[in-house]
This record gives sequence, structure tokens and C-alpha cells, in this order.
Amino acid sequence: MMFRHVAAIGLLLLMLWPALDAAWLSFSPDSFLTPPTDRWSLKWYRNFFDDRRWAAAILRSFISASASATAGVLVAAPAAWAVVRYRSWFNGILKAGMLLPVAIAPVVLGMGLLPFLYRLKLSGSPVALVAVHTLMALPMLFWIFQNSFAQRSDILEAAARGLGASPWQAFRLVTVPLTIPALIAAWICGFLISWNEGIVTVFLTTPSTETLPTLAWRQLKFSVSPLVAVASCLSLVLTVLGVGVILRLTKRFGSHSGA
Amino acid sequence: MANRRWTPVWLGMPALTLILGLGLGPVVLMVRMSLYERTDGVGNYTPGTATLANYERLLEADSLKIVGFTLLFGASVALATVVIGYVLALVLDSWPRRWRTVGLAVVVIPKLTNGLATVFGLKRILGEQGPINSLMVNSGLLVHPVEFWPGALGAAIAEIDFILPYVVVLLVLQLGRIDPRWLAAARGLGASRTQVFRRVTWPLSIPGILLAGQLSLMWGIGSLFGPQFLGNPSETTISVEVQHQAFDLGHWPRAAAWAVLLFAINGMAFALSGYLARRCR
Repeated sequence: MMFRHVAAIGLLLLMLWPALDAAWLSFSPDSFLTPPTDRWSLKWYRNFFDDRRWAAAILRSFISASASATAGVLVAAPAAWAVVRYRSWFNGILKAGMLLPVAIAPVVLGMGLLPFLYRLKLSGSPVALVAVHTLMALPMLFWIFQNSFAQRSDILEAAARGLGASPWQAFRLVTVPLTIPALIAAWICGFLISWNEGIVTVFLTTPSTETLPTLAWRQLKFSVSPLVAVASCLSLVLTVLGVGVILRLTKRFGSHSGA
Repeated sequence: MANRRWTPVWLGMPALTLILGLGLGPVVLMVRMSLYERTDGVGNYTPGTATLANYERLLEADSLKIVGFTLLFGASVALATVVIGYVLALVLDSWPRRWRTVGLAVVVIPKLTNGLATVFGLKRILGEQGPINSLMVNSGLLVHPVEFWPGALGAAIAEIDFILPYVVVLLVLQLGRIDPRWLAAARGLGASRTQVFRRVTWPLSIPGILLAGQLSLMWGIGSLFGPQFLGNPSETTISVEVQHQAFDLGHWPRAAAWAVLLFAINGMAFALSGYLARRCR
């Protein structure tokens, strides 16, 4: 019985390895891919911050990921609520529609969006980018909310109503706290999808609106630069801090509304 | 109750607008693009032309090879991801709450760096002189290092690595929905561990597995980064070809024809997998 735990821990470490390896390499003093053993250096970090494009790309990625995760939650949660709580002719259309973003491969979406946004005079617009990332995350967020809303919170709500709560009170004191885990999971998934999305984004960004994945993609295509490793290391620190703060805030909000 | 009848429409409209506006519009435009003739030189296409030449090109032997490889690659990646992801999710689900959170954090952390940093790390780790190969050769397990990349194996490992975190998160959420009292009840009524899994845990995981499987299949068929950076140039996926035609060769109509084909394949794979899943149930 021990074996499966050891295997799972081993697999988790394997999944962590490439990221850790990139972090390690970022401290290399050499120009090629030799990991630092005796000599460590911040040379690539200096180069990284001398080149404004990287910091700007990280910031842009962070903003679009936060924005599209938030938009995704705001769009997916009501839709999932409609499907779970109402019996309507509209549910079938909605459920079928949710399959569309899954069936469109990122390359296909990117190729089609380029002329499409150009016609709408939206090419290069950050709002369009956020909307596209929201679209790509939508099916997963929808599923997470659908799963959460189906967890029979309606019975608990009815109980709260029976005990004299107003509909708004029942919603705020019963439904919202029960939804918080799904809310967090959905927000994080939305953030990650946007943060890692480089395929559609490569079609939609210009050199002046580049996000982290597209900049890294253009760099990796021509040379294997340790700057990519630096970018990944810094973005890890930044996102862990950012997501940590957000989780702390949500938890505080959750415990307040749950009390 | 007219109000109640229209409530779901209001709630779902933003999502549907986004899907139809940004999802369907580009597909329609791309179908049109795939029917244009190419302009020699700088222009992307010649307006006002209509030809099937770009599609005829898809029927040539080397194109069919790409299609075949894409399907095989996507299916293998999806299968491997779901099997590994489900097993990992089952173990994580059995852990105490605190450790499960740590495990999920470890699953998610690589996604916080950047998919391409992962490619960068994987290239070194899986390299001929990388840590895995040197370890196996030095310990005498292997005589010759494994050539992970350039090749389909390295590309598949990269894609599994990209998709696995999403699958694990989905499946852990799905398993978390199973009331532990049911498992206890089944055990109390005399079921063996295997029986509990077969009769309770498995049937209740199916919705999550179905979604994870379809997502992995779609993402696997649409693979770009893995095959592009770790794959063999003679074994590419449709996504790599679309990107190559559009960006490297500037042949937009042909890239669009490939993209339309990829959309059709994804749609069919989606329908087929859903149908098979319903039949098996």
C-alpha cells in the first residue's frame, strides 16, 4: 500500500522537475545550457532587467490572466447556474455552445481571429485578447461551476428559507459560501489557461503588446536563451505571491460570509 | 411565470454571446480564407477568387501522413494523460486534506512558470547528455542513451506535461464530490476495496473522466509546442503545419485549409468520443 504513495510523490516531483531545472539554469554564468555547480551568477537577471520587453511582457501577462480569469468566472457562473437551476429550452443550446471552444484548436482560433479582429478594428487590442482567453477557459470554468451548483445546495437553501431567511440572505449565507471552493478553483484555472496560452496569443499580439509566452516563443524559436529560464523563474515567484494574496483575501471573505 | 422562463436566457446570454461572437465568427472567416488563391509575393491572398486547390493539396501523400500522425499522437497523448491523471488523482484524493492541498499545489506550480520554460527544461532533462540519460547509462540500465528528442516520444512527454495538471485538478474535484460515507457504507456492507472502487468510485468518476478525456483529446490533436520544439520535423502535427504555412511561408489560404481540416477532425473526434462514452455506459 506504501507503493502508490511513493509513486505519486515521485510523479509529482517529476512534474516539478522541468520548472526547477529552468530555475536552476537561470543562475548559470555561461551563455549556453550548462547548469551552475560551483559558480553562480545573476548575469542573466541583469540582462533580463536591462531588456524592458521582458518585464513589460510579464506585467501584461499577469494583468490579462487576472482579467480573463475574473471575466471567465463572471460569465461562466451565471451560465452554469441557469443550466443547473432552471429547466428551459435554452439549456440545450447553452450546453452545446460550451462544446464549441473545446473543439476549436488554438491554432485554428488564432488564424481565424486575426482577420476577424482586423475587420472589427480590434487587432492588437488588449480587451480582445482578454475576451479570447476568457472564451478558451469558458468550458472548464462552466464545468467546475456546474459541478459545484449541482451539489444539492438547493436543499440547504430551501432549509434556510424555511427557517425564515430572505431569498437574498439564503443566497448570501448558504449558496455563496458553498460555492467558494469552486470559485477559487475556477479562477485559478482561468488564470492558468490565460497565463500559459501562447498559441492564439502569438497570432494576436504585435511586438509592442507581447505577453510572456509569445515573447518566450519568439525567443526559443531562434535561440535557446537563458532569458527564458529567468522569465520562468521570476514569473513563478510573481504568480505564487499573487495567487497567494488572492487566496488569502478569498479565504477571509469566505470565513466572513460563512460566519 | 414569464419572468422565470426568461431568467436562464439572461444568465446564459453573456457566455453564449462570447462563444458565438468570438468562436464561430473566426471559423466562418477561415472557411472563406481557405478558398482564396494565394498571391505571389507579399500579399496574403487574392480577394475575389475561389478555388479548391488548397484542399486538393491536403489529399497528397505527405499531407495524409501529417493527418495520420496527428490523430495517433493526439489519441496516445489523451490516453496516457487520462490514465496517469486518474491514478494520481485517486492517490491524492486518499491523502489527508492538508497533504492533498500540497499535492495539488505541486501539480499547479509548473503551470505558473510558463509552458515554454517547461519546454526549455524538458529539452535539457531529456537530452542525450541530460540527467535522465546519464543516470540510466551510468547505472548500467541502458547501454545507449534514449533519443527522446527530436522525436515523437519527447513531443508526447511535453504535451502530457502540459495537459496533466488540468486533468488532475478536474479529477480531484470530481473525486471530492463522492461522499466518503458511501465508501464507508459499502465497506461496512462487506465490499472489498476492489469492489468499492468498481461499484462506487469508478461510476461516480465517469463524468470527470469523460470531460478530462475529451479535453485531452482536443488538446492532444491540436498539439503545437511539443511537436514543434521536441518533435521530429518529418513527424509534425496539423497545428505545426498551420503555423508553418502561415508564419514561415506566408501561405494563408493553405494554412486556413489545414485549419478547417483540424476543426473538422476535432469536431468529429469530439462527437465520436462522446458517442462511444454514452454507449459504454
